[in-house]
Amino acid sequence: MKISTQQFFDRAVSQMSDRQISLSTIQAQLAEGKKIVKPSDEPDRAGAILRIKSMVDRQDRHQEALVAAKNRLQSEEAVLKNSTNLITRIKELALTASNDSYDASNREVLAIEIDGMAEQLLSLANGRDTQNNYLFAGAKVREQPFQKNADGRIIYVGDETRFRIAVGDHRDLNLNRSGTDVFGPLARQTGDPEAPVMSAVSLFESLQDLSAAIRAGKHDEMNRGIGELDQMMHRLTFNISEVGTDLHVASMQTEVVEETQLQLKSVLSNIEDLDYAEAVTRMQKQMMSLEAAQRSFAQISRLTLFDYVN
Amino acid sequence: MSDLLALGRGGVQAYQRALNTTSNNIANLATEGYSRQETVIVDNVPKQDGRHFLGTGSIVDAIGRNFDAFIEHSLRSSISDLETQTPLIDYAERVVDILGSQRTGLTGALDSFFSAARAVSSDAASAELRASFLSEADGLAQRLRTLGGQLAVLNTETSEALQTQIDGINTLSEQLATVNAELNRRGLLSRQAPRLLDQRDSLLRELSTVAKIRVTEAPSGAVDVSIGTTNNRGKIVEGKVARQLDAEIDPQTLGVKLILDKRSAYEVVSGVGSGTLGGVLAFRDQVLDPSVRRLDFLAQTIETQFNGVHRLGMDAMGKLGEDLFTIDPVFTLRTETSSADLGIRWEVTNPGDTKFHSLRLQFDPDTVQWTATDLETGLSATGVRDLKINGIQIRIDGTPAQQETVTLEASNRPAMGIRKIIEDPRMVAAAAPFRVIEDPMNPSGADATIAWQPDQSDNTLLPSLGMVNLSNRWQTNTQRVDPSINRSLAVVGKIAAGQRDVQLGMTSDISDPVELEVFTRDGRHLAGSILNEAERAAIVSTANGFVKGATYSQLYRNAHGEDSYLDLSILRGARALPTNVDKLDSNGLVVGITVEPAKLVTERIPVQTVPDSGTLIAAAAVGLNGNWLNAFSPAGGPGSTPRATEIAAWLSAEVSRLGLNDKIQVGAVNEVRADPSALRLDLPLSVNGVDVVPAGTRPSSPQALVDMINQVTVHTNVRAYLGEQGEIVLMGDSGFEGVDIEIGPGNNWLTGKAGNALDVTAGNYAGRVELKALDNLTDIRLEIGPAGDPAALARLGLSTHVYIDGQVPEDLVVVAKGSAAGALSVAQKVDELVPLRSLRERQLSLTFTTDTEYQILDVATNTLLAERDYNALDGIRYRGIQINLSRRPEKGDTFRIDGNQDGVGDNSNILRLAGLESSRDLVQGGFTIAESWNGHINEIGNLNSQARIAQEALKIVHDQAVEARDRVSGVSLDEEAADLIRFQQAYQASARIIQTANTLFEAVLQVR
Repeated sequence: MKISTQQFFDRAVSQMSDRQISLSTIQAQLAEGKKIVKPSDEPDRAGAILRIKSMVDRQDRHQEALVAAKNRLQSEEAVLKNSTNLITRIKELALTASNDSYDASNREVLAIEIDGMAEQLLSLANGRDTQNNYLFAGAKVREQPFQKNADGRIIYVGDETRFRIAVGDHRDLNLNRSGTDVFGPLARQTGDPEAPVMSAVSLFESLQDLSAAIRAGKHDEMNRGIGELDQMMHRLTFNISEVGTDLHVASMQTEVVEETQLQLKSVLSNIEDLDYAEAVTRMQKQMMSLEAAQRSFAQISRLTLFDYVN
Repeated sequence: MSDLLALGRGGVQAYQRALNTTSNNIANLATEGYSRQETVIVDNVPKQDGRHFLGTGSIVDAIGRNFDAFIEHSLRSSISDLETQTPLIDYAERVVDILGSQRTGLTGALDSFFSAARAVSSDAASAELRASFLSEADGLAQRLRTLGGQLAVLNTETSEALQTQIDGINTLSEQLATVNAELNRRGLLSRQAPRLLDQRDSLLRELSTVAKIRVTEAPSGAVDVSIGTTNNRGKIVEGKVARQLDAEIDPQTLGVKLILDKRSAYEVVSGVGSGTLGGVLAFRDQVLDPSVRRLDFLAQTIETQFNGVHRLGMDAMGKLGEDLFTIDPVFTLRTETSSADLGIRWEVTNPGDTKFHSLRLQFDPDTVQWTATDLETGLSATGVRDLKINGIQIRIDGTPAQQETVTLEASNRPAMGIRKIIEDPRMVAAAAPFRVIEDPMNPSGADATIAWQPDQSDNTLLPSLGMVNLSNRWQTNTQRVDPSINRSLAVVGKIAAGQRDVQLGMTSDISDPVELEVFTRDGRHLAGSILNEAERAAIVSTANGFVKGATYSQLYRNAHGEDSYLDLSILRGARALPTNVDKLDSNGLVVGITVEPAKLVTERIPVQTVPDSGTLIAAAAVGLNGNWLNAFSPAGGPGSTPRATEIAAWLSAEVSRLGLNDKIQVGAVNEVRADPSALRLDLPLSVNGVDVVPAGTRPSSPQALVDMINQVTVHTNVRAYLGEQGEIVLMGDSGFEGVDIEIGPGNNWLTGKAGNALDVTAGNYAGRVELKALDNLTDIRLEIGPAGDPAALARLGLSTHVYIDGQVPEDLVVVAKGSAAGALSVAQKVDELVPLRSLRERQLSLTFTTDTEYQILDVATNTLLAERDYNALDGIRYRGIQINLSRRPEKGDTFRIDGNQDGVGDNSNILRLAGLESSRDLVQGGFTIAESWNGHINEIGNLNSQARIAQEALKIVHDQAVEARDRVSGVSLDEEAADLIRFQQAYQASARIIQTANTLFEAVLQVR
């Protein structure tokens, strides 16, 4: 058995260069802080990494959607709350007005104030969000939902479309309420109490009737108006609680998404990221190995029979 | 004694050579492919000396080569196996890097696209978000093109690598053939020069790196080498002959064929699986080709599916969405003449017109013009530098050679041709195409949702009438209809929505006519006769093509004007319109159009008896041009049989009464024609009972017969003339135009032939009524009135047809009713109607008349489209619109349905588009798009890993093979040093022998 000189040298050199290649790989890993610098480093995991990165990305998008949803819902909430304040104030004024001791000029003052607040309510109903979309117009978000028609009556020109947005992999959130849902018609009972006739009256018309009744001093109609204010209040409160629920869902969902993000990122890190301690240890081993190979080669390669034959 | 000298001398020589060999080995220590040489010293032939043998020393037998063929074979094999992995690993790594990177891979682009879609869903009216979405769509298309391009680069690279390797094989083959020739000159392996053999083995090893070879060694040491599966197939070296290897690459499928002797024997080599050649082939086969195909498939899927969803949405301008992506054909340039001076560029200008057809560009030096021809359709275009054809613009710069021909080969490579085409952010179709609005006063308070879900199976039940040949715009065909088979009712077919100006003609026995009944698929009876309960129930059913839940209604039966269904104009009766006739000049070319006035001619008036009431046709049973006619009570009273002239007179009077004298003229006509070649001039002839041919005479010619007929016109009121083709025409004399013409005698019952000179069937030929328009604009319409039925028109000699003018807005069902068969002819202008588009233009109103019954109304025309029972499971379905209610409806609930034209904030459709990200219906196997792509990357990654593992294992095997060879053929300095000492000592010893021999000789010489 023998080994040719050529083979001996070749083998030693190839082993040393193997060590050097390992070392340079480790060096690249240490520099990047990642075990997998390019996909071909661990090609069988390339697909898994892509998938997880994609999922992380998607959670980021869900977060953005949640932020947008929360902004919108909060705008709606603000309008609704202001509206309830207005209605409360109007009711106070109306109750005051139905006090018998008030005379015409006092009632006139009250009526004027109520008219002013009705205008404010109209502008709230036509409120917009931060993107300049009308909040309560259904899908017709660029057209003012409550408009005065030729007769001077306020009509709703929006539609009833409800839209949702996706805020999780399997979760979506209702984003809007239509003008009809919030500021829609009220039920009015007219005619003989024994055989009442129900009809619908628009909210703004009800307020107009109320202020007219106050001016005229008609107590029946004032009472009717106050009843209708209760209806309005009831509906607004219902909507506020709906929005509140939606906001609550949004914030819970935010937490869920955050947790999912955390989990995914840690999985990704396990696959991709470098364990520095382990890498440095490995590097030390390789370096030692290279050194040993180099030294031993230097020693052994010097031995030749020709030195001893002369 | 002298032998001692010879012995010594022999030894010295031998060891001198041995030393030579040893030195040679040392000198060739680092020579590549050198096999250690060994001096083989054998003993000389011994000399017999009496009873014993004396040795005669040694002699160099050969300078042998340390060589083991088996180890060599193993080594070659291991080289091939090892080298296979290298290109596979290298190229596959590149593919994984290209496709698997998040920044530059497909997954990243898909993520961005879907994110942008979801962003739009949070604020569909926002112009910036829409613009972002379009730019991400563009990014997706670009990414696909980039990836496709990079894979194409790899294709080119590997093709070139293949070619290089094949060239390498060819070079080595030639060198080996030369060596073989040298070897063959000597003839015996043991006598060959070691250097030559080393060279041969070196070449064989080099060949092994490229492909696995099978070596057959001849006794001379020459080798035959084959790269195929057996020793005899795929020989690249046969003795002195080196065969040329070539590769043919299919541009479409990327397949590679290896051919030997392309120009003569054309032998296809198969089974090359190892070596770098095998590695590159394996890479192309297992990695590149599947990747290209998968990418193309994904690009095509993306284009088809995303466009599909986008087209079902509504954009910010209220219109239906258009295609978001398109796939352009990919052109590769192929020049037959090599004119490097040409610069050819092309650009797609009309995505809708592009075709995947190859184009040939030819230069005509006479006209200095280029012609581009579509190689499939033959369409061509010419130009000096710019050509426009098939939706692309081609520009050619440079000076072409004579008759320059260039081919632009078109191929369909979706990944390289996909492009985003929508530019305007407003054209992003984010909203749903329909909207349902609940009336705020609805008693039930139910919320309604609406979706567009056309059911393909709706359309296949009934055959489409008249739709035979789509290249003709005017369609006419006739089919036999026999309702008597099925209780006198037969569903004939449907008239597809979109057809224009439909004419349904029913020709049947006038005394027992077949009637046409036309319905909508929701059971609205549009035209036809009164049907009883049983008939209604029999017709309106899903088996006959009516929708589920349809109910019968005759609200619109035969209605006119504003009362009609969706303002459709349906006429039931007989009609004649002015016709356009081409004016031809003397050459037969069309020079203009003349308009011929309308003319309506009835059939021959049937024999009919006036009933006891005295009225043959009731008042208002028939209408003329929109006016109902008075009753027709013939002067002859009950029992009489009015003829054409009388009917014509009545109609004429009606025309005057209605003040239509200047527009319509009514007359009676009658004609009997006799074929000139059939005339039997030897037979008698009687007209209206009068013998025309005097007894004993016979007419000598047709003209003579005509004269004879005209002789008795006074008695018959019938005259005759010779027509253009020589036929004899009998008609009523002036003043008696519509009179019946009776021809006799009748048939000869013996011979069965007609028995008169004219050779026409004997009998009474009744007159017809003719209505003529007097100007080019008037049409003539005789329709069935409210008190009439087809029988009334039949009495006038007319069949009842159904005419639908304008475009049919929805599918109509046609039923035939009758007790006998008839012929239905259908004529229409074929046109298309997109249901989605036409439905969106209508406003519909859905009202619940009771808690469980509802109506659908077309608001614009106030037409009741459907009346049905409500079923909570099915919801409400109308022509593809699906409406569902959140809770049970109540009487009085009303909903408005329209095309959502101003609902810009609606995000339903963009949500559907975003939902494609997780859809598992787009790709086979139930994967999403991203999963399918990732799966593919995984596969390549695994292949790569496996190749690496294989490489490590094979490297060990290779190393061992190298060591084994080395052990046999390698030079070890220490060994050679020892040999040097050995041979040197032996040399010295042998020299000593000579000295000893010399001394002995001296001793002998000393003896005196």
